[in-house]
Formats: sequence, C-alpha cells, structure tokens
Amino acid sequence: MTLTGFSRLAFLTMATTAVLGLMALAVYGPLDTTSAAAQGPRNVTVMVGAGQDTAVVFGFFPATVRVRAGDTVTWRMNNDDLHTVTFMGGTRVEPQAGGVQDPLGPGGNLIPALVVPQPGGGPQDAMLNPQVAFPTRAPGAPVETYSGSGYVNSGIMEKVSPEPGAPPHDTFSLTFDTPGTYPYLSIILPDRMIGTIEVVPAGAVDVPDQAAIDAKANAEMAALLALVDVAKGQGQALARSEPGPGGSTFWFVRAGNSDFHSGDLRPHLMEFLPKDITIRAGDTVIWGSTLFHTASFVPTPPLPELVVPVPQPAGPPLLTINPLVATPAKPSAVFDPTQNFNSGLLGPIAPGGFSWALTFDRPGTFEYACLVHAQMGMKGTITVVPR
Amino acid sequence: MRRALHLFAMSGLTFLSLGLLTWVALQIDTLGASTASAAPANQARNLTVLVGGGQDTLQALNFFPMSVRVRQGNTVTWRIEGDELHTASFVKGVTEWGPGAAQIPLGAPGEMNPGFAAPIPGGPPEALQLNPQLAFPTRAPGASVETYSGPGRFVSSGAFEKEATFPGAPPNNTFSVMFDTPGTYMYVCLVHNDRMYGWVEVAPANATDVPNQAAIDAQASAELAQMMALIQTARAQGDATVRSEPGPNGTSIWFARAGNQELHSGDSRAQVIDFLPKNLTVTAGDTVVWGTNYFHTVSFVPAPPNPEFIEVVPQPAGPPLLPLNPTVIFPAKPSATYDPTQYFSSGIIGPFLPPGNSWALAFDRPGTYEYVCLVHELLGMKGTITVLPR
Repeated sequence: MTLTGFSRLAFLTMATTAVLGLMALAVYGPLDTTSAAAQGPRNVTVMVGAGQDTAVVFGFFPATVRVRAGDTVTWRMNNDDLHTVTFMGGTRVEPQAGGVQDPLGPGGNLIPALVVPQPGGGPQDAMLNPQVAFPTRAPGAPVETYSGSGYVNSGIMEKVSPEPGAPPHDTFSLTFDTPGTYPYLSIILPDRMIGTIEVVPAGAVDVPDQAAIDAKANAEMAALLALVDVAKGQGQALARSEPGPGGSTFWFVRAGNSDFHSGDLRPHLMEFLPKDITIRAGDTVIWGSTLFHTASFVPTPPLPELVVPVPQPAGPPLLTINPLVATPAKPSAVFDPTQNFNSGLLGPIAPGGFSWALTFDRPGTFEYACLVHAQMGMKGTITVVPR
Repeated sequence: MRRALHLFAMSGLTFLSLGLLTWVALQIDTLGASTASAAPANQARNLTVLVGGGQDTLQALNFFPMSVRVRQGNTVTWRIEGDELHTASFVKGVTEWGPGAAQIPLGAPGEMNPGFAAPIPGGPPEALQLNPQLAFPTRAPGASVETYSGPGRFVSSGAFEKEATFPGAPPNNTFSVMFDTPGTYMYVCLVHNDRMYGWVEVAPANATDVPNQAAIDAQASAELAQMMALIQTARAQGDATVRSEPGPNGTSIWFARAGNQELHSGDSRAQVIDFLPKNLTVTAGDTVVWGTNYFHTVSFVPAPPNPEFIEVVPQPAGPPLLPLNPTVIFPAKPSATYDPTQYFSSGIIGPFLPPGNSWALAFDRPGTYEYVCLVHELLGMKGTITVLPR
C-alpha cells in the first residue's frame, strides 16, 4: 500500500482510536423485506461512507444487511474519506500492543488504536497502526471467511489510488458461513461508524436482494446528507465576534462541523465556518474544532502530507505521521505570510486541545487549509483590512 | 420559589437540535451471556444495574454492567451511582414525542427521542426548559412498577437524583422495570444519548445461563474500574498540559481545556469534568482561550450566588417547570478585558451549539480570579486565573 495519498483522505480521527470487541453497537431498525429468491451463494454490496467534497457522512449503507450463510459481502468506498471495515470477532488488543478502549463497548473491551508510537522513535514520533492500515488478507490470498470469531480487517480503504497506475484499495470482500449477527466498525471513527451483518441459514427466504439493499442504502444516505446541508447553511451564516484588548476584536471560526443543529455525529462538514472572514488589523482569530482538523498557513506549496510512508527493507512501509502537520507552529507573535503557521491537530485527543488563535496585523487576503482535509476542499481565507 | 434542581450536569447532546432518529438493535451476545455464575432457575429476582460512576470531577458515563442478562419475569432496578445527570430510558420503536424531540445520534435517520431542551409552552421562542419527557419518570406517582414487553413503548426513569430536589420528598434515585418477554432491549441515557447505552437481554423463564447479582456486581466493578483508569490517566495528562503561544504586543495566549473527556483515552465516556489546568498563572495583558468538546461554561461571577442552570418553578398543578437559565446559556462580555466587578461568561460552549466550542478573555488587572462551569459547579468544576503584573 502506498501512502502519499493518505493525506488526501480524510483522516479523521485520530481521536477515536479504537474499537472493540463489539457488543454494543447500535444498529438500524427494521430490516428490509424484499426477498431474494433462494438460490446459490450471492455477493451483495454495502457502501462505505457517503457525500462528496466537504460534505460527508460517516456510515455504512445500509447499516444493517441480512444475508444467507454462504453469501459474500463486498464493501465499496463511496466517498473521499478513509475507512476500514473491521470485525473484532471477540478479540482484544492489549494496551502494550496498541489497544485502546472501544468507545461504544463495555470497559475493558479494547480495539486497535489508529495511531501508535513509532518503533525506536522519539516520544512524539507516531505512525498509523499497521494492524489497522493493512488488510488481514495476504496479497493474492482468497477472500476470507468469517465465522464469528477472530480479527478480520480490510485495511484502510480509499476511493482513489494513491499512485498513478496502481489500483485503488477501494473494496473489501468477506464470506459468511455461520448464522449469527456480527457487528463491525471503521477504526478511523469507532465512536460513530458501525454496521451489522446478520447471517441467516442458507435456505432462508427473508433476505433482501441487491435492489432492496441499494434502496435502503440510498434512503439512509439521503437522510443524513440532508443534515449536512442544514449544517452548512447554518454554519456559514455565523460570524461571531467579541471585543478583545486594545480595541481589537476576537473572531470565532469553526474548523469542521460535525453536528451543528443536527445532533447527529455522522454528518460532517469539512469546512471552515465561516469559510471567508474579513477582520481588521490587530484582530485575533480563534479556531475551535471538535474533530480532527488543522488551521494551517503554508507560504509555499506543496502542502505537507499528514502521512509520510517510509519504505522498509522488507515488508510494508512505516506510515509515519508528519510532525509538520501534527505539531503547532507559530514562528512569530502575529501572522507573517512568509512563514509557516500551523495550529497542529486540534481535537479530542490532540495534546494541543480544541482551540488555536492567531493575530493579524498586515492587511491582505490570506489563504489557509486544514492539512488533513485540504484535498477535499477544506480551505478558507482571512482578509485583513487596515484599522 | 427558586430552587436549583440537584442535577448536576447536562450535556444534552441534543441541546438545540432537531433531527431524526431511532435506536435499533444490538448485539449483545458477548457480554451478559458469558457472565458465568448462574442463578437458580425459576425464581422471581430483582437485579441491580448501576447508572454512571466515579466521583466529583471524575465521571464515567455508562451503565454498569453495560449489558445484563435476566430471565423473563425478572425485574431490573437501576440505581444512580455517578454524579452526573442521567436517565435510563427505553425509547426504541416510539414514534410520537412531545416538543423538543431530537435525532437519536446513532439511530436510523428519522429516529427521534426526547432532546435535552424543549420550548416553554406560551413562552418566547428562545425560552427553553429541561424537556419534561427527559426530566420526569413515565411511571405515575404511586403506580406499580412498569412492565416492558419490547419496542414501541416509552419507559423512562426521568432524571435520577442522589439528593431530593424537594425537601421531604424522596430522591428519584432508583428505577425498576419488569421484563415479561424474551428479547434483547436497548436503552439509553437521554442526557448522554450519543455515548451512553445499555442492554437488557431477557432469556426464557427457565433459562439457567443467567448471572446472579454477585456476578453482575463483579462485572459492573470490572467495567467501571477499566473506565476509571482511563479517567485518572486523562486527569493527569490534562493537568500537565499548560500550553501558551506568543500573542500580539509581547503578550501570551494561553490555552485551557474546559472539560476533557478523552485526552489520550479515546473514550468519550471517560470524563474529567474540570478545567485543565485547573489553576493558571498569566501576566497582565495576556489572553486565555478555553476550548471544549462537551457542554460547559467559563463563568466569572462577581458576587454569589451563582446563577442556577436549571431552575425549579412550581406550577399550580402537575410537575414543576424547569426553565434553563438564559444567564447561563448565553455569553456575556461587558467589557473588552476582565473586570472583577462584572459578570463574564462564555455561555454554554460545545458541539452542537451555535457559539461553537471556544471562548477567549483578556486580563489586565493583577489578582487571582475564581471561575466556574455553571453546568457542573456542584461536581467541583472550578478554576482560577492568577494575573501577575507585567
């Protein structure tokens, strides 16, 4: 797997690093009813994610699918995000091996962390957990079969190939041979991106055909995408300010907006809200984020990538986290367009916290970007007018 | 009469929201069923599940154990253990709700449950109350214990309290439900419905593979201990995080967290309900920026008493009205820099809220100033800013 493309993907959460042994996943309601004719093994498709550009929905569509024993499910990436399809199968990852608490499971259910320390690196050196990043299926091996136990992982999927000419890792298939109900999740966002496969006996007739699965997927996607549109309209309308010292003004900007006025964790607007603001020289802008974003002013392209692959003598590369993205940089007290200013990662488990501030005194219009989601279009401008 | 409800925290995910919802199913097989010690068959039992855990500013937002397996005919009693505001509520399959219904955050689009806030009937549009469907039990006073037979019926504890809101009345600190139909039933805390779920698995009356209370308690203790370990780690890491950057004119900009649910743990149920760092020393001219990703305020109150977040207004008949205090909800900044004689407040900041999740205040008078989160003051969520002369 290559990596340069990783940063183009929405790498959302280092936050939720983990996932679990599954027990407590909330899934969707009544299963669809259109029956598939009893027949031989089938291959049905489930979509991973929805939306485009900055309007995305974290979810599997449909969230619950009923299939027969012997059927194969194929997941297909459906937006520009990064996700995994991961079945914990009752396994548990010890903390020393990069295990973290499943955010939706009982205390003690541990799932793999998305980000782990780099072997032999310094305390700040991190990388994507290979157990998450790479598939459990060996290259060239047949499609795996899941019987309800054991760890099975798609690896990180993305719609677009990171390297020209190479096929994208945008699908994942798994055959189910044992009746039962099996939860799974994306380790990128384990607190909100969960799904369930219900496997019924091979002779069952009350399973949906692909058309019924697609219809349900489309209905679920449409309902959540509508929430993103609502959030977008409301977020752009907000330009909030308060008085600051010395006659200046504090301006508040949201970096990303997962839930404003929707109350739902799954729709997410990967934008700065407001996207473009105009302030006066001497004012300070404060960015707040509740998911993983940066506010970054880069004087000279290209923008640094979040994930930098480091080839190894053997085996897959190390997928290192770029400190130029993750770590804050403020080379001077007020903004200077010739230098690199960066909030670093802002969000729930970022040591930097949820907020960042930068003061402007030179008039001009300055572009900035979220280095995690720039490829999706998460960019904004600050226009500074003379006082 | 203006008395504060002893509800300590809010969080209302669904604070001002609209939306959709519904819960659905769950898989539990792994937990309850595997709990080993079996109870003797065919006897009426009443099993206890704990709601929340922790103490003071360290709170675990979960049910303990998260999943419990009982027999048809058994009663489950939930008992408040944590100090946050919680409910235990069966909402699945219910389609008709009162004003203030909100999307279930992980439910199917369109699935609703009672949100934290609801409009006050006859009041102006911005007047909000604690949603009565969240605040009050579905069981009428004096009525017998409710029976739950599956989705489609709303059965809810109302807001648990450790201490009685009204002198002489017992606190609403337990909630019992009898289960008469085998199945697996999800329930939720309506205050923390993006993260706090539990399950009751009801096995046939003659099932033998159900845990006894001792096994349930052991499981609850183990799950709580795991979560408290995360919280302790987050507390230590949060206190150690004192971060500043250069600001204009030789000043500094300081970053503080208002609450910290998950630093380095990744689990949003592991809550440190405090300011991190709790006590911060700055220099005159500096600015402090607070950030949060849950529901808190940063409030400097010049003279006690502090404004109450939830007020209790008795009504001529029926339950009291529980208005949400606009003084707590909305921001106040009467001057550009802090003035200890006036009320300064971020208002409630957090996800899902129009103001966003950050607030800033500049200080120029030397002194030590106490501040508080008006939502979580009773848990001890207080801090100080000490300003040294420049």
